[in-house]
Amino acid sequence: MPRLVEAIMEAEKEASRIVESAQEEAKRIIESAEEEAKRIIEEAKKIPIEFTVIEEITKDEERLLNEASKKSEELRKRAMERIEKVVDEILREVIYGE
Amino acid sequence: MSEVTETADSQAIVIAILKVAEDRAGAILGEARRRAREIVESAKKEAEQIVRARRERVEREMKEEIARRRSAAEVEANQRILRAKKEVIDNLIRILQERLQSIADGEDPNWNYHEILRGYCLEGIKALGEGEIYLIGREKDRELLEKIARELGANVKVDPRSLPIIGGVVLRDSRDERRYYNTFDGRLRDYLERKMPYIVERIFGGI
Repeated sequence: MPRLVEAIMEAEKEASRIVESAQEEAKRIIESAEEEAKRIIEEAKKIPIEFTVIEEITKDEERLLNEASKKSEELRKRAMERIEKVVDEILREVIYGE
Repeated sequence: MSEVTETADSQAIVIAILKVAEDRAGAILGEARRRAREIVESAKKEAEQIVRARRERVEREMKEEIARRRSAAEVEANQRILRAKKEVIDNLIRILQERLQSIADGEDPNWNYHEILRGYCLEGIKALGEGEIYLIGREKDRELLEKIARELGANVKVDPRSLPIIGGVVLRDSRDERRYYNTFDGRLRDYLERKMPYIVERIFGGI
């Protein structure tokens, strides 16, 4: 009988060791998962989010300004031609009245 | 109980104890792995939400930036056209002033400045009425004004002062209480104030 008791006590010790070992391993698994989760979230916060529209905006701005410059030049040229035609009329009205 | 029987029983008990422990260990590890998967899956979902929110914010900011820059470009484009129009109008005014100066200086054969000035003096005399009238003009018009004064009668004289004007004349009564302005400068200014919409239409209409 004493050997039976001794064998059972040994088995209980081994059983406790197995469970403790499993608990430690479980703790490591959870910790590892938490670290992985933290890494995933940090990466999501840092991942570069870029769009290529800046280049398109710049092109759009340049197009608008170029069109305005061309229109300004055309307007200046055609208006100056008209000025020559209206100067005498305006002078007459300034000097003699309407 | 025999020794053999006792050994067999003890082995069975040990095996049973260890089996229970191993089953429990397996359950613990199984639960830990399930929980670990949940943690990682949850983190992945949270990460997706974070990325989506960041993307939406960047898109929103980008749209605002596009709208702001487009608006600024449109304003600048309009300003370029307005500047061109202003340059043209300034140029027109400069040409008119130069032409008036040329007429006043007798350099334009198409205009008789003497007659123009005489007409302006008559207008002024009519407006100021009876009494002594003084003519004030450019220093270089003094001789011409004196000639016109003689032509217009004894009560018309030339003021000893002169004015820094393009051309034309200012008339005053003897006590300088009433004046009649008939200068090129004033007439041009008045004309431009009244007729600018018409001028703008004539010059820029349809362009």
